[in-house]
Amino acid sequence: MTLSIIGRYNAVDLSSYCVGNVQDPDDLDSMYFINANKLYKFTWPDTLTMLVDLTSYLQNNSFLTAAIAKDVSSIYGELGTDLHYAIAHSHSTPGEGGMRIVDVNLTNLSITTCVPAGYSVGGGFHVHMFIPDTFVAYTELGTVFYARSVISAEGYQWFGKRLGLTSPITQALSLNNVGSIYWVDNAGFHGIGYSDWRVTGLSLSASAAQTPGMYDTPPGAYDSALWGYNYNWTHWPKKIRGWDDNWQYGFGVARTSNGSVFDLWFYRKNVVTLQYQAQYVLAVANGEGGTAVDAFDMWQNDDDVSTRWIYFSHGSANGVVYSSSVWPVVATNYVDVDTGVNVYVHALHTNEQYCYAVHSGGGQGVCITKLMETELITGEAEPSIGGIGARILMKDKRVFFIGVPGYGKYLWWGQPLEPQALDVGWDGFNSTVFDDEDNTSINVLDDNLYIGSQKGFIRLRGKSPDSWVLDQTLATIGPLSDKTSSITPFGLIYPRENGLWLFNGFTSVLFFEKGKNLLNNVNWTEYARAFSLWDGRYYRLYYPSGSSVENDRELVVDLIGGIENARGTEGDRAATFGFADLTTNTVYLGDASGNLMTLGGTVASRAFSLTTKEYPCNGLLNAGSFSALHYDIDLAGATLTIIPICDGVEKAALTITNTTRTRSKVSLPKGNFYRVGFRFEVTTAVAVKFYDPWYLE
Amino acid sequence: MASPSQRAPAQRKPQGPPEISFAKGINTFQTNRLLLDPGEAATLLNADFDQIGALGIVQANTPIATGMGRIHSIYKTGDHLFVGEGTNLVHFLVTTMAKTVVYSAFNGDDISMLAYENFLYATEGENKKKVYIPTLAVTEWGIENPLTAPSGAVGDTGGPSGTYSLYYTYVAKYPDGTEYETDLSPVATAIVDTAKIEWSYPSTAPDSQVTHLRLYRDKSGVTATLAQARVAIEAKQTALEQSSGMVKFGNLFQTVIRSQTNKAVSQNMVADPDVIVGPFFVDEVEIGTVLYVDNVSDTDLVQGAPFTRERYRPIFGV
Repeated sequence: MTLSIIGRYNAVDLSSYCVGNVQDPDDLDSMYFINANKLYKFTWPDTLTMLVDLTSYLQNNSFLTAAIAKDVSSIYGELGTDLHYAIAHSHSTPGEGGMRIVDVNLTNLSITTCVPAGYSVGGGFHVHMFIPDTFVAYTELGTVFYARSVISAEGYQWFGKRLGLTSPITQALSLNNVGSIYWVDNAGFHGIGYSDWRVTGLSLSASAAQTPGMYDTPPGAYDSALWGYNYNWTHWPKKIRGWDDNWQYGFGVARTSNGSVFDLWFYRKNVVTLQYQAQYVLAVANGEGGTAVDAFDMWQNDDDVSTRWIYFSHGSANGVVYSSSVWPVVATNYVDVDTGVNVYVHALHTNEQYCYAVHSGGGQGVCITKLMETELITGEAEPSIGGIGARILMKDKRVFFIGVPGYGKYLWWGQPLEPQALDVGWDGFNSTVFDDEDNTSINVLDDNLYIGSQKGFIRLRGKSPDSWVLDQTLATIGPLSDKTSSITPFGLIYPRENGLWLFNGFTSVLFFEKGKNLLNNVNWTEYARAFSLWDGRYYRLYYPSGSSVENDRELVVDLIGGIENARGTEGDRAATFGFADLTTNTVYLGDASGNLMTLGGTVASRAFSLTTKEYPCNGLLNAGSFSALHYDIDLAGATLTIIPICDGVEKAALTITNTTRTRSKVSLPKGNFYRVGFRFEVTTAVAVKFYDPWYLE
Repeated sequence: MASPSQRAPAQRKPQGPPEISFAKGINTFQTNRLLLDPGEAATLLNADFDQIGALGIVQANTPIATGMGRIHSIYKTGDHLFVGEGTNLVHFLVTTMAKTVVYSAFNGDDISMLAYENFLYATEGENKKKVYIPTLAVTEWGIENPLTAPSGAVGDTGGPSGTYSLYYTYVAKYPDGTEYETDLSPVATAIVDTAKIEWSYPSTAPDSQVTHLRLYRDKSGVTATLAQARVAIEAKQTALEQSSGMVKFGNLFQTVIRSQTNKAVSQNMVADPDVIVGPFFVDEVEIGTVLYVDNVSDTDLVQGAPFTRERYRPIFGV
């Protein structure tokens, strides 16, 4: 993570001690900080206002040493070690309007930290801040958790609430815009939604501490083997923010077996597959330390907030864990590469990726920092895979890349001869053609690159970005997934809901209608797992059917006679993925049980069946009959079951068997019918051969 | 033209017993089985078309390796078979099926792979890993550009004189001769007066594939890069063409001139002192070294190759 200083506002001399800043949760363009006993408000991009000179309010000419919290109307600070102030700069509570300093007279408190809030809890109550502490007057309560609240009729009140904490809170984590707060003590991680607070008299109800739905059981799979800890999960907030289709984000705390060290984790969980991914150690023990983590966009699919980012840096001495305004600032110091002094970064400006920060000293003033461009791009590229998945290919010794979730319309490419060096993503190039559909495939045909979507294909001509030309093709039906799109000598073959389509570089045609009948049974919710192969003769499609989550069916289309004479067969071969090696004519398949296989070998012990077309008896105008079926078959010892189907009604089954190729006939049921067909079945795993043709007599 | 009465009578297809053929498998979405073409099947399950003129039963799979997790990705290049199972990328040497787990920290999603020369590039969209196939060494796709500037201290007497801009690059060298080089580092300035420049630079690399650093230095007082020089040259060309009327010769002339000029640029033989390019290659050092004593004269410096990587950013992910 790298920050660059893009501007400094030097209207105020911050050479004296400058305390940490506070961003206004209701006004993301503003932040507050205290310097030289003056309270300032800085508003993006360049407006600095001194709100109040605090000197006359401070005792013994001291000044606030930390700005702790900001609520809707006040900033709370700490003076010395045991005196705390709420500075209401524009308070609207009846009888308390105007700028003022409020001494809350908590001289016996030793505040370790606080969790800011500022939300209505209903019933006319408004919680301003929560301060955990050990108050000598309440020793019998152990560690208490205070909520400072405004009751319109009573003014300020302090609410004490025993939350079962066994030790002082060591790290205040977050105020969630949605309405939750989080904190850590040595017993674990706690979270609660503001809507679940209950204000009854001067205390919060007992229900607040164990709000249903805020806790969940952590995954047992991560107990010890994977992470090397014997975790004792204490609390596992179920949801914090950022639901998209399948993902859930949250924080969790893990402790070692001896309970002396705990880690704070940020996790991402796929609620469909129940896989926990991207679990990052944010803080170790008292919030310091941690490990290097990546950045990703957790709100990428959130309709309400589309551009927020969370950024993690490594937790070394100058580590930063900071994020957009609704996320915790676990550690906020960052060493300015230009000056070498600490920059206290508070939060990202959510729309323009700016951070507000103040230097810890040295007269640097207010700094506006911006994530470096390359870092932003890196961040954009980092989301983990979903949907069709990332797909790469190489053309003209240049790698092309699609399929980054949240960047479905992007095309990425690399430097020529240097596939490891990817260039800037090309966004929106397909918007006019694809009607805002995401890219679904990327293939090379006839020396051009074709990017597909469900709405068709775009052709990319040329050898380099300088000469690239984009063409819209005539195709209006495109592929659903790159994994089920296979290049063949005839063109690009891919399935859609109504069958198999062929794209030849100009247009696409439906060439295998039967696919409609087969693919009607596709489990579309798991279609991302489907894949196809071209093995030099057959197009093989593997897909999940019915309610199966794995590919349990295959459709094999023989193209030895060309597209016009395509012939197919269904199959129940299961495969999770495959690869066709055309140099050795070998098809490799894998399955869900971890078996790697080659296709072919012995005859499969699978049920074979074939239903023929129907044949008219006596020209359909008059009922007639057939007396015998002449067959030519090598059953190799197996039994062939023949089921006549007369006028759509199955008749009694006939059976034949032999050990070598035999030409003979079998009598058919008597009766007058308009049409006759047959179903043939073999269940024995032997090399049966049906030789063309058979005859009806 | 023959009249209708002169035409030969139409050949009537001889009526024989109806044929039942298996040649066409399934194809059309025709629910009326009576209307299917001869040879078409209404349904067909687990058939095998391999033998022309006969229909068989599908063949089984032959296991070649077992005991892995769910396999979601397979790619083969030469005798090297790469399999994605769980979070692992597994390599099999096809001739022996010897198994090696080459990387174990993918996120478990499908891995898209491609081979280029002796490298396998693999990504599931989150991790982007490069496998040097001969050794199965795994690195990132690219190399992060240097983020810190070198420094140049005044050393012993007996070196160049002037104010110099210093840069370095990261270089990955592979046993097969493949080399990758990053963009230039941030610049540092060294001021010396007939003294050696004592370079210092990072002794560690951002990625294990980095084996060397290349040191680059401007000639005293010259800071133009190759790209800047080319822009300047082309501007001069355009001005020259327009003032001389040479544009009338059309694209051919321009192509020839530009080709020659580009060649001149690349060989650093541009006579115009305003467009002397740099920075110039000084020397190459192995990663892990911490000090380089530079006494390369300006004359020798300009004989070296200028840095030519105008843009080299492993943006996507590294």
